Amino acid sequence: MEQTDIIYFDNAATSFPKPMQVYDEVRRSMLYGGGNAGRGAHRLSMAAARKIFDCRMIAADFFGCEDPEKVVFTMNTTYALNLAIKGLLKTGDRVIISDLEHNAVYRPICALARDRGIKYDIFDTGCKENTSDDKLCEGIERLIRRDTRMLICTCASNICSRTLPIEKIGRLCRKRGLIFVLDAAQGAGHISIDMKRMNIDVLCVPSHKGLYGPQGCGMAIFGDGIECDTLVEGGNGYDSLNVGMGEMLPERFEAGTLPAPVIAGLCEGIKSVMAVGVEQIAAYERALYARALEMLDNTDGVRVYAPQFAGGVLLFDLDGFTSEQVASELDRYGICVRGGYHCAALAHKTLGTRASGAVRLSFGRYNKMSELEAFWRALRSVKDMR
Amino acid sequence: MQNKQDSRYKYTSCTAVVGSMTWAMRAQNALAEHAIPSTVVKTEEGRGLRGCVYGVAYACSYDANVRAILEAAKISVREWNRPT
Repeated sequence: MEQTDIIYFDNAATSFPKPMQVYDEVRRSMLYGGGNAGRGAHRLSMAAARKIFDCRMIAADFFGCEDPEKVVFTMNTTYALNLAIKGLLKTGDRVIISDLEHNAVYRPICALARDRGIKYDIFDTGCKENTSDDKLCEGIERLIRRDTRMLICTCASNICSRTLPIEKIGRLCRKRGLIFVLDAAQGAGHISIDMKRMNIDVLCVPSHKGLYGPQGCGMAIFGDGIECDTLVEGGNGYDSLNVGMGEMLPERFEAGTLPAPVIAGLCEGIKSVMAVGVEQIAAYERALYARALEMLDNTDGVRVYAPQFAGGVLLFDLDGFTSEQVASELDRYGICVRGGYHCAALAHKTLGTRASGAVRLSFGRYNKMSELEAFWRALRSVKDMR
Repeated sequence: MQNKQDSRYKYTSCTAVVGSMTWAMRAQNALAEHAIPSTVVKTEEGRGLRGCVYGVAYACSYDANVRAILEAAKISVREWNRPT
């Protein structure tokens, strides 16, 4: 099957396709900037270093961070979250998380609960009863105790289109002296994020989702005054004869060679999102969602979860089929969706789908309305198999 | 292929040693905003740092301006070197 025959509704896992400029820049970087950034001063090393620094500046600007050196490149969002969680939380600390967290947050928190005796509380995002933002924040406030040090939450769920009131949560964290870590794996590129205005202390984002970059890179972007321990140590290109990682950001947290071609592609991905506009992308995804919801509402045996939240992610199941069966059958029609649990046990528990998982459609800016018609036809054919 | 300009910078220019590659790039950008040409250079040490240290080399005639610009940009310079 040619890739042009594929209908891709798995953009929450990784966006596809990418803007052509991303592919071009990765290739250009490998051909003409193939040195190791920050490991020498020859022209190929400098070409790679320059491209990486340009990406730091673009990313800082895009997310409202004043200082490009606070943009730390990581392997992915999970690594960025682990850096923030394990680098900032100490023995005995308490942390607040949401009931929609991905395993990228939930598992490191559980690991620290086991290894460092940290405690955690979970706030209700009101997915079922459509809680107001103010009520949600009141719920958080009730959980804050004397030893609460951090709040970490997702910007937008990876299994439904619930987005959290980040600005209000950030204001609350600042008022109560909590470190605010935001998992923007799903929000970046879909929601305008301004670290300063939203009082975000550490922003964790991927390259390969809403920013339309390649896989293989993420970012931890630090706010002012955050002192974080390292997660991994190794060569970082400077101060090589001393044993420590040094205090200078971003190198303090960037042990090992950076994937310069990936970062070069990410830089172009962010530029493309800036050129189109986050609001325009989000509005288009909402339009796709509305049309898909209309179709599914008119299909017997389909149940949509948290349908009141319109956005880039739609979760449903089909009577008589497991979610993996639906995903597998749709794949036979060239339609890529994801079944199962989406690495989000906590969120599936919140939506009541922990027992069987569900099917996720996730949209991107390259999806077409006509693709939804093909999806609907295919889904009805699957349903008729029973 | 020899890069003559880089060699000239290294041995006849003033250098502000800042530390890591990222901070050297920041310094270079700050100077470029004031139309001061500079080159990122790598040295063996800077105050408190040993092995693989980066800085920017620039024409010594800009020295006073460079000091003011980097200070205003909050770029901490570990060493100011002049050609001997």
